[in-house]
Amino acid sequence: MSDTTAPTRSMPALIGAGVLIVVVVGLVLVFGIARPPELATLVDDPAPAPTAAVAWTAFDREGSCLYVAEPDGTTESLRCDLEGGDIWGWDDDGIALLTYGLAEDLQHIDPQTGETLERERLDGIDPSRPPLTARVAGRNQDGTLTVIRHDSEDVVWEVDAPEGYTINDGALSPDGEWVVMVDSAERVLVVPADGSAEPRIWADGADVWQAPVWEGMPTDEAD
Amino acid sequence: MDTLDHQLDRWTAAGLITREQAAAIGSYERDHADEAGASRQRSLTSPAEAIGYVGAALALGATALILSDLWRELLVGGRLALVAVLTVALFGAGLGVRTSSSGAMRRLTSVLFAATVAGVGWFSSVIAVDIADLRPAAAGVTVGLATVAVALVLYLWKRRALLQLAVLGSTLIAPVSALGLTTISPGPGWYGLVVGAVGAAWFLLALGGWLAPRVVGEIAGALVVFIGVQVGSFADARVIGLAVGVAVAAGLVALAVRRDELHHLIIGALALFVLSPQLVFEIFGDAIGAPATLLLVGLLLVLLAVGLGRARREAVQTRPTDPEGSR
Repeated sequence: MSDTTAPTRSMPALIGAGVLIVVVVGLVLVFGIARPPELATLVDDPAPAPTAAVAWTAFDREGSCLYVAEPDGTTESLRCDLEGGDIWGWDDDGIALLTYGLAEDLQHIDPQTGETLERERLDGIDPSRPPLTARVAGRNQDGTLTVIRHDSEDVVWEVDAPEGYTINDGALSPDGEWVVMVDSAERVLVVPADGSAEPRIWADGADVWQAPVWEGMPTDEAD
Repeated sequence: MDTLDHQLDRWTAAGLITREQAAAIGSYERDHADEAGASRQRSLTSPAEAIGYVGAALALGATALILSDLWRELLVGGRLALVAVLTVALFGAGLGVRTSSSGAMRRLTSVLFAATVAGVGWFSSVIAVDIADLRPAAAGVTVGLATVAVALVLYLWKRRALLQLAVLGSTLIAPVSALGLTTISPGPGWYGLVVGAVGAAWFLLALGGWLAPRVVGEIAGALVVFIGVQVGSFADARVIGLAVGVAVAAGLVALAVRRDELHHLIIGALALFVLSPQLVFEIFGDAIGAPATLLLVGLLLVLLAVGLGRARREAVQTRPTDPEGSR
C-alpha cells in the first residue's frame, strides 16, 4: 500500500465511473422517488365526519407537542415542551398524558387550552403497557398495502403503494365506527372501520411515535 | 559489529567466503550501520505511535463526555465558536507537522486533516440544525456537501490514504441523505443502489489510476460496493441483489487472478463468504437446511479455488519469459 506515485491514468475508467453515476442518479430521479397514495383531506371532503376528535403527540421544532384534531378536519397544537410522553386516554377529566421527563407522572390536560388540570403519581401504572386496543397494521407486499385490524382481522384498506409506504400504527374509535392511523408519509388518516371508503387525510406532517388517541377513550380502559 | 566480524572470520575459515568478500561485507555493514539503527528505531516507534493514538482516542472520548454536558447549556454562537476553534486547531496542527519527513509525522498529518474534515462536518451540522432548522435529511445533505468539499481539497493537496477515505466517506453522506428528502423512504434497494454505485465508481477511478494510493481506493471501493449490495438485499428483490453481489465478488476474484493482486482476492473471497450462503438460503430456503447450505457453498468455493489454481498454473506455464512481467 505504498504506491503513492500516480500511475498512468485511464480515461475509459473515468468515463465509466461518470456514466455509472449519471445512470444511477437518473434511475433514482425517474423511478426511486416514491409518492404516497393520493387521498382527499377531511377538510375538502368532510362527510361523513368522524364521530370524535383525536389527540397525538409528535416531535416538532419546539419539542414534544400535543395536537388535537377535530371532526371537522381542523388541527391545533395545544402545547409544546421538552417532556416527551404517551397519551393514555381522553375522558371527562381531560387528555391523560403520561410524561417521561424528570418527574414521571400522569397529567390531565384541558383539551381546549392545553393547561394541566391535574397531576397524578404513577403508582400502580405500568408505563410500558401499550395504552391502546384495536390497533391496525399495514403490510406491504408486491406493491399492495393491506391494512388490517388486529382485533377482527378485517381489511380496513387495500391500495397499490410503493414499497416504502406503510402504515405505522392506528386505533379504533370508542364507538367502533372509525379507525385513525398514521402512514409513513407522516399523515394522520381516518377511515371507516369496515373499510367501506378510502381514508381521508386528517392532518399532515405528524412525526408521531404513538398512534393517535380518540376522544372518549377512558384512561382506566385504555389498556 | 564485533559479532559480525567474528562470524565473517568463521565463514572465511570455513571456506564459505573469501577474505575479499568478508572485507567487502564488513565495509558495507559499517557504512550502513545508521540505516540498521534507524530500522530498529522504527520498530520501536510504531508501538509507541499506536499507544499514542489509543491514548489520544481515550482523551478525546473523555473530552466528548465533558462537552456533551456543556453542549446543552451553550447557545448557538457558543456551539459554533467551540467547534470552529477545535476545527481550526486541528487544521493548524496539521499544517504545523505537514512538512516533516518522518513517517509518524506524515501519518499524524493525515489524521489531523481527516479530523479537520470531521470538524467541518460538525460545524456545518450546527448551522444546518441549530440555525437553518433543517430536517435530518436536509441537514445530512448539507453536512455531506461541506465535508466532501473540504476533504477533496485536502486530498488533492496531500494524496494520502486516510484523506482518500475521508473523501469517500463524505461522498456517501450527501446522496444517502438526499434519498431521505423524499416523502416516502425509497426502500433499501435504492439505498443499496446508491451506495453500491458510489463504491463502484470509486473502484473504477482507483483501478484507472485516478486515485492514490491505488490499492486503498480499490479496497475501499470494493468494500463499499458490497456494503451497498448487503443493504440493497433487504429489498423485495433480495435474490437479484444477492446474485449481483455474488457475481461482482466472483468478478473480483477473477480480476485478482488476472492482475495477480492479493487484495482483490481477499475482498472477493470475503464477499463470497458473506453473500453466497444468503443467496443459497434465499433460493432453497428450508428445503436443504442451514448446514447443507453452508456445505454447498463451501464445496462451490473449494471448486472455485481449485479451478482458479489450475487456471493460474496454466497461465504461468504458457506465459513467455518476461522479466518485467505483464502487470
